[in-house]
Amino acid sequence: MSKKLRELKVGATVEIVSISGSQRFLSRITSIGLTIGSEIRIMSNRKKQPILVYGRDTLIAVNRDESEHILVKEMLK
Amino acid sequence: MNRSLNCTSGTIALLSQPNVGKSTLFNGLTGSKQHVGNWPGKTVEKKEGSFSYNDMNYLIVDLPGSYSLSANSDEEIVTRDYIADDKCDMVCIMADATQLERSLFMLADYCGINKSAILVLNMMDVAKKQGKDIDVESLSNKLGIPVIAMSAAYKNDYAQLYSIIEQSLDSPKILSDSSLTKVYESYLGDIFNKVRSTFKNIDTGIYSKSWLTSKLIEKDLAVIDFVKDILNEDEVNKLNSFLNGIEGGNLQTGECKFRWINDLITDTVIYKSSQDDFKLNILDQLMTRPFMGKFLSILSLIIGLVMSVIIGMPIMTIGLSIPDTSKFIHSILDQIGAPIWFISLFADALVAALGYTIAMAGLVLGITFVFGFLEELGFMARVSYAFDNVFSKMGLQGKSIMPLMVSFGCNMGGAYSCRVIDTWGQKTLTIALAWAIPCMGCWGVIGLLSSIFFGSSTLMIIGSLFMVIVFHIWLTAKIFKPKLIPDANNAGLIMELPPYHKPKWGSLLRFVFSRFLNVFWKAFKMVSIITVIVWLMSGMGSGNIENTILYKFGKALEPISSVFGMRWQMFLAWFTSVMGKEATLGVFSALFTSSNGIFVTETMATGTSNSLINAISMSVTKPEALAFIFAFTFNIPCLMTVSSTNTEIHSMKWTLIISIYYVVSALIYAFIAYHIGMMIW
Repeated sequence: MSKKLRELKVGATVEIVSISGSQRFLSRITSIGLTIGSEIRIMSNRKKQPILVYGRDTLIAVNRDESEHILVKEMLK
Repeated sequence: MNRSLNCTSGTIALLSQPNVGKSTLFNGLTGSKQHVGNWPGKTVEKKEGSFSYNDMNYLIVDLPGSYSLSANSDEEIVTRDYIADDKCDMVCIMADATQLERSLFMLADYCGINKSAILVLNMMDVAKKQGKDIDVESLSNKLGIPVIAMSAAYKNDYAQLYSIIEQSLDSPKILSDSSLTKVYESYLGDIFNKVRSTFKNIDTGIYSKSWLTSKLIEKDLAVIDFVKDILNEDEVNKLNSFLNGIEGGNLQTGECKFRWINDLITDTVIYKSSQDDFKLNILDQLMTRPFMGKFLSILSLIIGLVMSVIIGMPIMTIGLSIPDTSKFIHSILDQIGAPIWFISLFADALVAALGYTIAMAGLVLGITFVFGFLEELGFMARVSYAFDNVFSKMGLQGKSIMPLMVSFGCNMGGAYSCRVIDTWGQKTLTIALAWAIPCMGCWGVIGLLSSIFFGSSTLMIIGSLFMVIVFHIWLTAKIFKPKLIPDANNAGLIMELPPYHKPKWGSLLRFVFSRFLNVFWKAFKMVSIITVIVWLMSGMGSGNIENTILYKFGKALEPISSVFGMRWQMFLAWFTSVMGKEATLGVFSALFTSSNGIFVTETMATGTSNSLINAISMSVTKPEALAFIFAFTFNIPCLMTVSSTNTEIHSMKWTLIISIYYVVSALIYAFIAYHIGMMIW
């Protein structure tokens, strides 16, 4: 079952299952290292603040509204 | 510099994602031999430099940074056109050895462009400390191009880079795209092969057939235009039918690129120690809290501003004491029998301009150093994060808080500190907002006038002024956002929080000093010209104000300026306040007490005398004073800010638009304030 990033707790390790949005958004998010199938960990998820994830050796901040476009599924560690 | 560029034996372009250390390498290679300009027809900054090695001269071009080679922004388009137009002999692609997987994306995106390239893996020292080792030779064999692992901050590492550059220019090597093509074929399958077969018998120039195919699948507009030129109508139609069904092509090709990168890394990167689980450090844990992050950001920015003043102080002191030499120069010029007008021009006007400019450039030096330090440290990225929710509604980055804060000290510094903002539109909008913030010099005049005229209600006046400033910032964002940051351009905040880096002192100091000289020279030229014009208009030092062109100008416009609550003295004070708002008290004393100093120095030397306060309060009414406070606050901050804005945004057109917008706003606010004032008093 897929979830939105904002529904996840800090420390959860998840796999990205879908990304939608404008051409520009897709290009940007891909080039910073978030693609379908990539594994990320939630580092911070606080009200109103951008969501922080860690993936491909990189700490990435995603605006809360933009994060709606990214769906993930939880992975068992 | 030009002499060394005349006989260039090779042009090298630098290409990388942000935070990889490209400017450190650029500075390390070129030292002080740098030139900053504009890309033709674009508002993107062009940095060029040169260096010599073995008696040969090389030209280095810093390609504007972005995360990929897609054509989504002016920066990316400039970069791609530059490579495609065959203007350089070689591209030097950089990646960060500590974040190899992500930062190699640029290499993957470049793969398929048939132009000589080398790969530089930067920050190898840090990567080694993390227990990472890279088999450079096998990586080089796989890619087919030279690879070097180094630390751009260390001078010793450059010898090898120089020799690799020399060799590669002699015998160019092209990055092989066969392994990436295989990934595309196996992952994208049919569609990839179909699209690529369209180019079967066609010369695709610098782009490989696979590269064009992947960009077409990404629906890259520039590439779609490009292939329309090389294909006939049938082929274009066939191509369109293939491409129509594709959704989210970026995601698919992106996945392929990262698979390719993973294959590269798996065999060539050796982890000596087990990788620790990544954790947020204590500072980042605090910076990501909604309130704490903002609090710490503001606190650091305030401390930064204070530090800037302390660092700039020695130079500012020198600048401010230069006008003291005016008397001395007077007497010398007197003795050698120079004409009076010349003495007045030189000893009063130009000496004042010189001192003022040095003082301001000193402050900018402090600001550039402190905030350059915070940026290099990686701290500004955290500030951006903390303020994202406040600024993203305006289409801005959280970093925009910084120029706004700096502007409380100095608007020119505010404009220069917009350098850390990534896109042109956001930069320009931030500067447009920052102009509304009154600088220290401005607050001084506002405070004085309020206390003279409004006594115990001063706080209320300043409070209402503050509210109007906030309103004006909101309004300005509303007006300018659609033009500067159209929605299609607005990707929201997706950014990297880079690891904290130790600042590279050498390159930071070089940058600070070159900036200082640059600021000083540009501002001095502008201030001198304006000073001479005002000097001419103010009677060339002859004394009585009523004989001057300035007076006639003010008097002639009085019927109009009175509508906005400004009689000729106040109008002239407002008009000349663009020379520098600190200067306004000097202008007041010239206009109201007919002492003949209209130049900046007078204020700094004489301060405010009681006779000035009496003279002003006698001849100006309360509503007029209120109107002036508003007209003054929202006027163009100063000409040096105009000049620094133009330097930062590379657009005369937008600098003018913002200037006119502020003059008009200032008059409107003055009009409203005047009429409200008339109702009250």
